[in-house]
Amino acid sequence: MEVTMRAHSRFVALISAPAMAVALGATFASGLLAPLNAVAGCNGGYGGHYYTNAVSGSGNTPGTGANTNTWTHWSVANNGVNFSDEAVWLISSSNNNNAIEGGIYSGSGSNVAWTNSVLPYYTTNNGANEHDGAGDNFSANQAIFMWVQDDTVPRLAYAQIGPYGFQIGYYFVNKPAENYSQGETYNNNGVWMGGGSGETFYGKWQDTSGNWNPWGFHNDCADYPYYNTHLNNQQWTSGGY
Amino acid sequence: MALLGGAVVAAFAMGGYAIAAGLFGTSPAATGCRISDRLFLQPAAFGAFTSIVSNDQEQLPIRGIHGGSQPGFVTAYTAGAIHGSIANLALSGRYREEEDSFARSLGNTPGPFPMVPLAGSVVSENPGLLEVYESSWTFRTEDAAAAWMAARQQSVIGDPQAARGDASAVGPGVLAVTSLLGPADGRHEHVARFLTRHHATVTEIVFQGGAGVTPASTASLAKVAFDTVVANCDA
Repeated sequence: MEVTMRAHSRFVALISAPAMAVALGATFASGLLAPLNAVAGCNGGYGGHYYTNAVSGSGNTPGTGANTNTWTHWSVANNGVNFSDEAVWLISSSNNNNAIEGGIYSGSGSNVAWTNSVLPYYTTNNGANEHDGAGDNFSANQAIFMWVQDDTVPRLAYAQIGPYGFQIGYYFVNKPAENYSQGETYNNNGVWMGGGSGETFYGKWQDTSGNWNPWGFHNDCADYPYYNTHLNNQQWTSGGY
Repeated sequence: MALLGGAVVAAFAMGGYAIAAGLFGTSPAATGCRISDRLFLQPAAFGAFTSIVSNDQEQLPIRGIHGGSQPGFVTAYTAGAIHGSIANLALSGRYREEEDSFARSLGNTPGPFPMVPLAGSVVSENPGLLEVYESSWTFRTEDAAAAWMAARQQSVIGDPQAARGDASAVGPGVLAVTSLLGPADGRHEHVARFLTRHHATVTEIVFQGGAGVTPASTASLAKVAFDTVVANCDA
């Protein structure tokens, strides 16, 4: 089946205006650096997966976040396999399997075998372990801040996807860690990304005091037919179908 | 609603499949099952049900795999499939109207099926099965299958609402997990999930429905499902 959402608003509201000076100052003060190792980038359709990525610096950051809106329309062709998601990640630069991911999805899940709604989820270990927020249905075009953090003392690992919070417990992402965001689909046949027309993200990184700071830069990529439009140092739009 | 698919249970019980030795075997030489429809229970096994999903899975149903090193179960995966069924009573009438109304309140335009996982009166007023999803995944090696089963266990046990259930009626080595698909308000589905491995094939069956859906109430169906995998593994 296909799920189609009505547009509640033609435009996506940007959550906050870029504070460039603050962003740059905070970024460099924290010691974040350009990625030390080349991020694998978009996968070019690995195993039927399609990606759009935005990746910022790596450093001692314990968390990654992004302001965005839930989809106004979406389509995930119902064959029990397909899915569409958009998420933020905290990934160890030295080991991609040491990672926390949190975001929204529709389609095939883990503890929720299948949904045609839009639900929050998080994963650890590069997607190997997933928890879906069953019953946590998002409304269309709902403004949310999605973020994940590891268990850097004194906090425990946590994922907060809009109003839905998930206690992960003890999970540490070795440093340096990358602030990363992605859209992902499986596969590209009748599966929209970013609500088709795209969603704008405002990327943030967490410092060791727990404060959220705008990204100072990001590098992007996209697997055709999906797209990633670089807007400025903090913002990008990803979508397509 | 038929909770246990009694006719099917009885048929398999009389068939007397010799599963005890084969279902949980770990022979290094054993390979995974060839994925086909014959491995799966059909919707009628659960009562008045309709297929909601039925498809091969060319990749494991996981997201987020990045470049670089990938878990061995990803690279060793060969084939899989998912079959899902939904109770007919949720497809029309007042339950469907309620589901569609809820979907519209979220901005959703209802399609041919109600929004799932089901929630609301259809759950609170029907203690039996409402949705069933069965998946089988085959790998090149038993080690890879075991690793995938461990990953699945960690995922499902990691659910804050999950609790281990009694799977002794299904067989040794079977994992049973209960959980809720939402708050414990009587309006969100209960889950009884069973997971097992037959050589290099991992099979999971997920029963969703009202308050009567427990490992005890669904163990017979789970056993039938797993017996079916063993009986038709190389068919």
